[in-house]
Amino acid sequence: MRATQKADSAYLSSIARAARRGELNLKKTPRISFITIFLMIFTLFTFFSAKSEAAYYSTIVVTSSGFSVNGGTTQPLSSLNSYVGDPANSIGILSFGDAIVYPITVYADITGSLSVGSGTAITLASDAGTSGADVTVSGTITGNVAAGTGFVKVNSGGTISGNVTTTTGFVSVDSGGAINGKIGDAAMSGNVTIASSGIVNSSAGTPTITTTGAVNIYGGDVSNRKIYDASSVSLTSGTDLLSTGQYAIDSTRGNVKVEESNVTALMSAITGTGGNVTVTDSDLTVGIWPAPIWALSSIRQAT
Amino acid sequence: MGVIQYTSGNVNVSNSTLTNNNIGGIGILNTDGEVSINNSDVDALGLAISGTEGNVSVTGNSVISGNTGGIYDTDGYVEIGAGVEQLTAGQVPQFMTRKVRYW
Repeated sequence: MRATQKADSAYLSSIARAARRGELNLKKTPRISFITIFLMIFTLFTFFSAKSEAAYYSTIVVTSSGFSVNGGTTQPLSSLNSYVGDPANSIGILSFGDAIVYPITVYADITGSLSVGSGTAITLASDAGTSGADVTVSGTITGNVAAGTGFVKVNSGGTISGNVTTTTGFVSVDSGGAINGKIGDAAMSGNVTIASSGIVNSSAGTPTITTTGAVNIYGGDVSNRKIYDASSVSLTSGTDLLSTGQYAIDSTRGNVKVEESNVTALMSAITGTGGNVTVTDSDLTVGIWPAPIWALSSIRQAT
Repeated sequence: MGVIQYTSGNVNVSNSTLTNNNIGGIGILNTDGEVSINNSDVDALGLAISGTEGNVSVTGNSVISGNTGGIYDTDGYVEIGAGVEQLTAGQVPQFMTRKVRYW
């Protein structure tokens, strides 16, 4: 017992001597860790403080030679990203002119209107909210557009490559315009109008047009799925409604009018209509139909 | 399944073609109102028209062609115009209704 106590005493004495010589880091190690953690927290706090500084700009007008903010001086396009590229920012009116050849991705919210000129292409990031904004496209938008009460208007030559939804706002596709995505969802009540040569082509597996509003197609091409839940449907003047799904026009609350148009589907061209169905100078075909090559290609992709 | 099916109101078809290439498929199925066909072809591998609660009127140079029957299960009158051609495969009956009137 005494020998053990003596050994312990000698061991403790050696530790004390080592501590006095500074050979032990018993105190330094936790001090460094504390400083490190403090610096990390400070850095993170600074970072998030900077990111959360939301800015609002009433108007940003972009041309091929530069842009101006709230009517100010023209700035180079290389500085645009600091305004439109911050998801914390919001912009009332964001206008892109024609023929802007510069990579632009919008992360900021747009609250009033968004317009994209002919020959200009922009990308809408998923952070970019457009609820309530009127969207007019003569160029190209890549990304989903959710305009809420605002409208979405695709002019001739304009393209939206993404899904388009509104709540009460209308969606229109002019002659030569295109929406490569679906239109609407269960919350949409806005009307949909597609002019001659307008194209709407949704991805397989989703209805092409879903709205409780009226759907009027004047000679446009609607392909891949169907028109669902509309208050009324009117296809006229050479419209081709090609559904690779079971139904082409499904669950219309009011009347369906098909005039000088073609409707094809696998099982039923028009099903579940609350009002009258009027078919004039048209061909309605279900089952095996002479599918064009591009439609067969889309079916293969879906399967 | 019908080319046009489950309609609460009327169905009016003129100068048009309804084709059902599915086996047993029907041209016009289950209409609550009246069905009017004028100068049109209804061509189905099953019945041409079935399950109509209102009257059915076929006029002009229309062709009603159903492989398994013509116009079946109609609650109202079926009126067939003079120029209407009716085609069915084999000996299946053209009508399965008690109220047929020829114009």
